[in-house]
Amino acid sequence: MNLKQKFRPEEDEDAPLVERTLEGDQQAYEQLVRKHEKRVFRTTIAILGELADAEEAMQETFLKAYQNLHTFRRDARFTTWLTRIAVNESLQILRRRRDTTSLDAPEAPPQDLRPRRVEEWYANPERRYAAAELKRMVEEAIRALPPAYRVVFLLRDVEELSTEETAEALGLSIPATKSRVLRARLMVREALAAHFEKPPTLRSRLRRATSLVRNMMAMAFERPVGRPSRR
Amino acid sequence: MLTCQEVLDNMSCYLDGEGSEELRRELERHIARCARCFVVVDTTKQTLRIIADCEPFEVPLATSARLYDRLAHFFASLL
Repeated sequence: MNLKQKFRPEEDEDAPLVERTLEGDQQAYEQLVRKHEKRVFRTTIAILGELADAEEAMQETFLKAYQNLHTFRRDARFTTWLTRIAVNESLQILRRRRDTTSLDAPEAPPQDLRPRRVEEWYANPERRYAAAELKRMVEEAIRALPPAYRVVFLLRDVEELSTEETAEALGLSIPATKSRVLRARLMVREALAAHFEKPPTLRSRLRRATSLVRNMMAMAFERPVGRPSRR
Repeated sequence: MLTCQEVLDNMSCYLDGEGSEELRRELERHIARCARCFVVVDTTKQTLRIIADCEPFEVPLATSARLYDRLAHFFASLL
């Protein structure tokens, strides 16, 4: 997908603040910082894991963005451009600390995508926990993701960037982004299921077994006659 | 009819409201009869809702304060 065709600069709500900053208005830049510090922090903490590192990367990001704002070509949203800087700053710190990790070559992907916890959840399961407890559970589930999945998940599902913007910010292809989003979602679901699912009942097991048989029958009967049915 | 694996592979597309009308229909047809896939799709949808609502990883106040300090110093150094 070509981002340049898709994105229209007049759609960028930050454009007026960017213009004012370029004209020398430092307060306009401070407004941009206030608006985007959450996203930048989530990006840097996702990649770096440690608070002190994430803080340093965030500061560097906003200083670099200010100093390089004149190079911002309006072919993407400001926030995508800024996130990209945050990713690069974080990776630089990461290289300094560990010197090998990159987002292009993540550690071997989690092998098995097959969902393990398949019991239904309680209705509105989040209401079973206090807000702080829920936040802790969610953060723990996200923290447990391999770093290359964590940052994709945070940008796509917490910051709610589009798939294209996530790919652009991380320098990944769209298929790679999609595949990581799916895996990350399944891993986070699995982690939350440990807190939210109802205990298995005989009835739920029976229902699963019945639907399995029904599916196999349906698939068998859908095959044209004379062809062996395979699953 | 879609297999369980195909449902899994296309689940993100479905949850993001992307993909063709036909894919949507096929997927819904599958989960209407497959209790396991129904749970997986439904709880993944709930996962995304819960995550979006709970604002994880907020910037600690002290971290935020130090950011503005550093910016203020930086702007002062430009004078």
